Amino acid sequence: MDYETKAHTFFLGMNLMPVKKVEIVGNFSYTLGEGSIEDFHFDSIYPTGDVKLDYNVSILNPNMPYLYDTAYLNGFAEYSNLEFSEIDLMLGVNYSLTNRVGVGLHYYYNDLDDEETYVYGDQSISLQSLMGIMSFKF
Amino acid sequence: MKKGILITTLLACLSLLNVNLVMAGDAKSADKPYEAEINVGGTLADDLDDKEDGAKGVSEYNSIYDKSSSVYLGGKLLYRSNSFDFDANGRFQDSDDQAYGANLSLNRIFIYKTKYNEFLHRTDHDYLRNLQAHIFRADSDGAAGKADPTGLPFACPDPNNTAFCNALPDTDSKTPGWQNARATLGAANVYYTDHNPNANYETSYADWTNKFKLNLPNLPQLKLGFDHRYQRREGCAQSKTMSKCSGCHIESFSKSVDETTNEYSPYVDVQMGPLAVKYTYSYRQFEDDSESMHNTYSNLASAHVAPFTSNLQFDGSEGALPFSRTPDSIKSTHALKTRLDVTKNNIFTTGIVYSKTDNQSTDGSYNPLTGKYDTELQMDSVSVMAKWHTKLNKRLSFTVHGKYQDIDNDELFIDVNDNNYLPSLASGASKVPRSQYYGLEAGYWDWIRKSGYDSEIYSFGADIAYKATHSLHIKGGYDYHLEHRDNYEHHDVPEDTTKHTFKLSGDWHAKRNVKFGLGYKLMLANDAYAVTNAMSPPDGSFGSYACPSVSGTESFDRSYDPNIYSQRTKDRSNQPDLAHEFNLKLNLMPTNTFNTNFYAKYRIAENSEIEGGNWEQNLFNGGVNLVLTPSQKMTFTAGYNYFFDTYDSNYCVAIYDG
Repeated sequence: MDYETKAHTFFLGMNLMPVKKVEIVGNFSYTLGEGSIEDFHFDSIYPTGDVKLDYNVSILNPNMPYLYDTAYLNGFAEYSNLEFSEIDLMLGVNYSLTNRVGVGLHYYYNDLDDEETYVYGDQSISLQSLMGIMSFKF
Repeated sequence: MKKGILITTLLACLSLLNVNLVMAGDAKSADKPYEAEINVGGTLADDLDDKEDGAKGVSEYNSIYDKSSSVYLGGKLLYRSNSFDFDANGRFQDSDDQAYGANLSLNRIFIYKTKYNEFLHRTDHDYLRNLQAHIFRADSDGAAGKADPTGLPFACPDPNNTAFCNALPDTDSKTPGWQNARATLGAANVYYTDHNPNANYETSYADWTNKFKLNLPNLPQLKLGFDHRYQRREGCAQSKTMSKCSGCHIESFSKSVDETTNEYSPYVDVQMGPLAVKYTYSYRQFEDDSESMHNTYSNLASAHVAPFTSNLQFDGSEGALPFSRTPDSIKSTHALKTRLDVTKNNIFTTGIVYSKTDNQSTDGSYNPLTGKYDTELQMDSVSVMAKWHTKLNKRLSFTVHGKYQDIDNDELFIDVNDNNYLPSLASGASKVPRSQYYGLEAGYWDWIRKSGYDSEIYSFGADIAYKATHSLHIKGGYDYHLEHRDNYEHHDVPEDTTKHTFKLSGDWHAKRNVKFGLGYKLMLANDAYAVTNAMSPPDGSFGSYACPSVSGTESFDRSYDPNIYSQRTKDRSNQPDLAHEFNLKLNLMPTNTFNTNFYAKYRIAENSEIEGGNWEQNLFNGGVNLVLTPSQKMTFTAGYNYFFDTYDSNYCVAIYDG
């Protein structure tokens, strides 16, 4: 079997001073991640020759006539699947009121989209936050 | 809440925060011995999806995302004078997100540096749902319709076999303790219990370092120092344990975390002409005051299906047993390092390190089931290294290095518990030692556990650097590595692993605005780390495996050998015996305002020595960075990175014979 992991990451950034005393900053990144088990398949090995494992349980589940068969493992590769996308955005502006006093306002947006929610549950989440700050030098 | 309304609200709140105007003062000036900066602000956060707290996603290290607001306080202070230098900085955003630091110098004689950092780490909650990939359904209610892709309803697997079904009296959900039926059924099954399904796990880390240094004015060649590191981890984590044999019952519990590490490292540094000598003694203490976890494991099938002859060391009959513990320990280290500048272009360095680690949680009255061995277990390590670097001329330099390390870990006497054999379910029957039942001497299965850490490691190598031209630099090297494992027979691993690594790289500054770099590394290994006799031949021949003939389903008295263990004749490994690694980097500056950087790494590795099927790896990482600077007041950046990694290996099916 193969286990594959892939990740694409793009990012953009800028730092501008369009007019005196004003600075504009921004960052954006996008990540797409994937992981999975490939080429995973078992043919049935039944009968095992084991009296206990050879119990016929087809009356309970016609798709699984025997108590144990390696073919029953074929479904579990799905639990290895990983697929998510993540966006991180920051936009901010800093303004110098005087040589001593400055203010800044920064906006953050973070989003994670979890397409495969096995094992740790759904990790998807979207957050935004706004940060304001005043600085003074003396 | 709609985004527009939210933003308006955030801005309104922010304007209130900004009223917290700070002190005023002057900017740095030449005649002022001090500078200071104070930052005051706040953050308003919003979880747009109103997700439950457990969805950590991008907030793994974000301590404030589940709080609507937080205050930000920060500042810097710098003071300089002829004899006294001091600077400090601090940042507080949340009780779980703060950092401080300070440096102090008195006449450059006494120097003190300190840093403190505290942050929150949200950790995963494994809901164990992947364990539904088994035969029986796992949920405690056993209800049909549960999202279980492979599970069968939990019921007597052969309703026509009345005797067998009657041996499973607690399959009725109305019977107290019926869930344990799954652990006591003598069939291939696995199930789980998450005792805290709604718990959120997070740990708060606090790191504090202090460095003191004393430069004696009358003895400039002598320096004394003392380093201290403190780390504390507090919070709640998930811990798991498992009952096994007749059924694999995985249980998950919440566990408090309260761990402290303190490390004290005094040192002395002496410079005697061309020779520098530094001796450091380090004393590290780890204490775990976390919650003591205990679990009463599932009972074996012997309680239901006679005469089941279990071979487990413990089950529910042993009562509550400890699990998920990290032992308290003390590590002492002596390190002596020297550097001899024979000439300006000939430098010889040596080092010798001895360390001793004591496990302080094993010295209780002897009881292997509780991890007590009547002694503090100890691990010693000695390593010796040397390196010689010489610059033969302006173009050619040469380095030779070697290292030897010896690790010695205590061995342990394991008193195998053979008192849990129940020969009969007849009324009044009691357990007897298994050795007695089989007519063997007492302690027949006792053994000495020898550590897998016991080893000797040898390595040496040589590197050469050659400046062919002003713009072309070439480097080459060879490294040899040998690891000898003293107790390889006890751990089913190779006795010796040797590795040869060859390196070659070059940097070419083709033009003023073009730089080009290439690198290649080849690794060849003999007997890479592997588990020997780990699997049956991968030719499918074992598919016809059959247990010893048995007369009835109740007879579980059969052995794993020779029908299972002796069939495992092939090795498994995920370590390569051959690896190629290529590196490429290219830097182009088409114009003075546009800079580009390309990079790529490709690694192909395999292990074809192992007979249990080859192991292969293909890894690629590459990308491009672009930087555009139209003017000094304008910078744009862009980039892309692609990562690909694949492993190709045989999957080994576990053979279970309950």
